[in-house]
Amino acid sequence: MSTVPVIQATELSRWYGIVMGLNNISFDIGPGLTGLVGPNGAGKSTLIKIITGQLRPSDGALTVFGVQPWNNPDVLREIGFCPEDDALPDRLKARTWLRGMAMLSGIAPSAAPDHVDAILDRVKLDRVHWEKPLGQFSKGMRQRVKLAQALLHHPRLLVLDEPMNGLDPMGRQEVQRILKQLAAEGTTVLISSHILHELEALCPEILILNWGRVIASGSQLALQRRLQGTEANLHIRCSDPARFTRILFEADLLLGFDSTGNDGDDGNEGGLDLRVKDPQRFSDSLVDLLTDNNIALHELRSRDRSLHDIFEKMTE
Amino acid sequence: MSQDPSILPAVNFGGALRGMWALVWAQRCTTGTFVRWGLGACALGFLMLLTIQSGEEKGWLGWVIGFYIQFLIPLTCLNVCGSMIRAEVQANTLSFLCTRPLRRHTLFLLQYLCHVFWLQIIFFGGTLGLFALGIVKQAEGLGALLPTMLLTQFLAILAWSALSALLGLLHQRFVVIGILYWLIVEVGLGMVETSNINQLSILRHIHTLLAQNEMVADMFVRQIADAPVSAAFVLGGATVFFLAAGAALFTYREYLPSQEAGQ
Repeated sequence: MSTVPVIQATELSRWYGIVMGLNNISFDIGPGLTGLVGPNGAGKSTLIKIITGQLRPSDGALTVFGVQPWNNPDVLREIGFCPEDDALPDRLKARTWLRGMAMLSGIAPSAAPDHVDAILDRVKLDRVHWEKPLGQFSKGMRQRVKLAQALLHHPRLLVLDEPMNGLDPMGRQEVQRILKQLAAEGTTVLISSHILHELEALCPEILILNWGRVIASGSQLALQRRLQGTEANLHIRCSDPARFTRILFEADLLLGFDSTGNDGDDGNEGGLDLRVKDPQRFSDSLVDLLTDNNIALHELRSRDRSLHDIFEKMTE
Repeated sequence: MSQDPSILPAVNFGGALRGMWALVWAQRCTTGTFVRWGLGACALGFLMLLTIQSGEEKGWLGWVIGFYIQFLIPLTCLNVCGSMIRAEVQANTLSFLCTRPLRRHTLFLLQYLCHVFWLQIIFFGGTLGLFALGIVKQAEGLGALLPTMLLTQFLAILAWSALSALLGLLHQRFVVIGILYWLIVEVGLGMVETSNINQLSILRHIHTLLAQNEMVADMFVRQIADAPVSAAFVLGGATVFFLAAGAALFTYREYLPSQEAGQ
């Protein structure tokens, strides 16, 4: 896969009068699924509007596929945009609106009807609603129509602002499935969402904004490592927790621990919350320690690895 | 999803125009619109029937020139074309259009053409209705006037609509600005007889075209000395000028609902 950035910002700033929207930010976004995270007023919508060619930078540069997107049909042809706002032309029927949009996107008028029907099927909008005015649609149905218009011209970059808003759990799963499928087909997907656990499951790459600045970007794993520094919080369940704790102390790998109860049949098997000193060394030596001391490992999971934790720590 | 290369994007103006027309037509052709237009036409027809004596052409022409051409057409153009972009900004739906693979001036031009086409249809029907009413009232010379009237209103709608589209981009209070413009430039400056400044009035050139018909020429107090061809060129030139200014404004200015609220 190419490592050329799909979106590249260089010292990008955007002001609204005296209000700063984005403050001298630089970042790269590569292919795949990337989550855009930040509290209200962080600059997410401003960034999305610049990426989709609705706003111009006040200073610096932002390029998509190597060129600036404002008033540039060549790159707008490669971008699909699903806005956060619930605004749709309420008088129009879903099919009518999408057919018009398809023709404006370069789909041949003769091919537009079939093309629109295929897209509506893909976003799983029930056929009984296709000829209804958009004003009669529920929020979830409107989200599907907005997603459909973003997919009309087979964009190579899909930008979605809060695409899960108003969707029921099944709808969210369906949208996640579509986005993963698009990413697998080679579409770059940038998703802004406040539903962090969904972004966590969906996006390997994260860009965190706060007060108009990029405070972190990269893979979730790398961010986690950066945050943890030289320690990690783990939950472990093994056959002899007391002995295993001693072994870890002796190996100078443990900063502290909490026992979370005995649930083994022999009364000597239970869970431990560990504060590990050097996660990399712990990871490298874990298998040897267990096998050499004949301890059976039943469960090992991180207590840190949540996007919510990363977000909270980064925006503190 | 279909990946047939024959339907992959290659935006051409004709296809985009059809797409925009599909949207404009669907938005305009609603029951509410037809009820409003129908009620307005009935009210106008009723007033004309009441106030025009049978066989009195001047009374009929007074309505056609004084109300329909000078007032109703420009005000409708102002309302329809002034809001063609502004309504999208206020409804927060402009982002769907601005993220299509089209240059912004093309988008503006597509909107203008579709709205103008809609207005031409409406006023073509309206004019035929007025002439039918004239026949009912036994006004004479209508057959000779009809081609002049249709050609003049065609050019007038192009020019008024282009001006209205520009005013709509300039400020959200475009209706107020448009009415002030109409009073100051069209009516005010257009009435000045001793200076070339009256050439700024679109209405003056419309009068020149209409005055090619003798029946209409008798109506005007002022002497019509301008050549009809130059009047038509001025209307065409004004249309191009207003459109170019509007396209340039839409290309360089950002339109955001948040700014709209604060304007």
